[in-house]
Amino acid sequence: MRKTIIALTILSIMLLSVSMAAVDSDGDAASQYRWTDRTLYHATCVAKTSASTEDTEWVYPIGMDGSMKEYIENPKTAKQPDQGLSHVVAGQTYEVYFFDISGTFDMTKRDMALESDPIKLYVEPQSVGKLTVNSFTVFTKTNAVSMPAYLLREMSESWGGSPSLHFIGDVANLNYREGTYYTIDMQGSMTALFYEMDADVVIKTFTGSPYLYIGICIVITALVAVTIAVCGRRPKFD
Amino acid sequence: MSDLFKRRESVPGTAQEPAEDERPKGTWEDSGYRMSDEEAHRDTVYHIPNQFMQVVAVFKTQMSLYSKRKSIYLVLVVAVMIPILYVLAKDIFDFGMVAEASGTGLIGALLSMLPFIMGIFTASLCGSVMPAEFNDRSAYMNMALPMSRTAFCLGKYLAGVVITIGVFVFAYGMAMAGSLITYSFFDEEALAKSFTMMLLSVLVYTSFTFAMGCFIKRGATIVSFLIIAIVLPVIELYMFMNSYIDMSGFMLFPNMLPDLACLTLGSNISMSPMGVLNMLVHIVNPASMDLLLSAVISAAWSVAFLVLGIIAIERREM
Repeated sequence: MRKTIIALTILSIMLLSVSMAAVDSDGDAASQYRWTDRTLYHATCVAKTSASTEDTEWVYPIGMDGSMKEYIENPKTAKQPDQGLSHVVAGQTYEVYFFDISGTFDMTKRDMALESDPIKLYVEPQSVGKLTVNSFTVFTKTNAVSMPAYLLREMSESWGGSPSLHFIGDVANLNYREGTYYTIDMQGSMTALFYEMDADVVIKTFTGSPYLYIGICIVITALVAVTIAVCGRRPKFD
Repeated sequence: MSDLFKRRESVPGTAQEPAEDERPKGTWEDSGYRMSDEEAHRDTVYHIPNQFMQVVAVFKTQMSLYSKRKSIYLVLVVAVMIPILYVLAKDIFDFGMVAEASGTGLIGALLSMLPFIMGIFTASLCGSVMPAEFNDRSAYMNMALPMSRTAFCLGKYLAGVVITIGVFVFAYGMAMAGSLITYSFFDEEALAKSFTMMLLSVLVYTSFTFAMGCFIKRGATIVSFLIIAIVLPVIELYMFMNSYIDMSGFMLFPNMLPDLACLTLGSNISMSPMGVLNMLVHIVNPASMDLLLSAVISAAWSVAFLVLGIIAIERREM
């Protein structure tokens, strides 16, 4: 009798636990991303002094900035622009592209050359994202640097970002949270015209229910409970 | 084991029934009482039941013994506590830090103690069953019965498997109930894989701990727990971190199955050396695991250890 009560109690708890639920279907994508995290400006400037150019400046003779213009037209697909002049001569006029202008140039007017395009990954409700970054390359003025790690930052208008460090090849969870999105930054600081990332992003959207598995759990638990109850019963002798 | 011996009715025409006047006469003749051969079971031939019935008899006896074990009910109480603890902790702890924010991810996080508890539970349940027989001297009575030692071992092992499956399936159900409090979406594929891994891991852990119990006379519980839950994982982790084996090979070790059952659900952590390390640096990707191959290896592991254990008992001198 005692064992029967235990079996019934276990069954009751299992049955009471069943409530609303839902199920899954997957969608995935492997993507290449290229983006900047700061706004690039352009100006036609006169060099005040003869000097070397800074890492934050891409300097071309007048009319020779075609590769940069091509990149600005289509930053997602165009090739990396050439690195430009490494020295300027005082009094000469140049096409200068910069994040922060140095004191070498006399600048009168600047144009926005390339608006910052931070990568944003949104996760829809009832979804979970899996991000695997296969490569992360930072293109500086002089070379391309492969980064072994990157920062995944969960952004929210109300509470800002909370970064977490991930390594290349890691699988990072992208959780849905209302009003938030994810950005990816490089680890450390470096002035780069753009970043390039080869990543697999798998967004799993769940639309089903776990009723089947709850049912299986109930049946198996019930069978075991009944077996215990039957085997634990005292034998009756006639 | 009252039903161990069965009666077999005699085949008509084959029994040698003595003539009425050849029967021995006794003092009861004077009482006038007479009983037919059928009533007196004179034509009943007794025989040893077949192997299967022997296994069933031992299984039922062992289940009866397990039904009195408090540790089983203690683990069930712990399982019932899973949703209760989650309700108490969900407002003060961000489970999104240790698992993906989905129903399945939360189930994985709530079951993160699975490797540890499975190790200690199977070690105490299956690892102690044969040593207890000898320590309590009951083996000297049971093994003297007309039954094979193989059936004796199989019956005891199967009882341990059934109890372990029941307990951990119940824990899964409780974790699902806990996750339903917050989430209404689940990854069914991950749930199916994890469930399969859990059932396979029950076979792996029970067979290993049972075999250890057959070999070791004293301290089998703690030794088998330490080996399967700590020593083996640490050695495998060392081999993996030093590139002796790759990730796909690492995930095929059968003793890793409880960890992988949690990680497959979307948890980042499980209570084992590998699971704790995985929280700091993602070292495995359960999605790339070959479940079929893992199942074959686990089945082979279970059969091998079960056979080893049975051989140890078969060869044991009483």
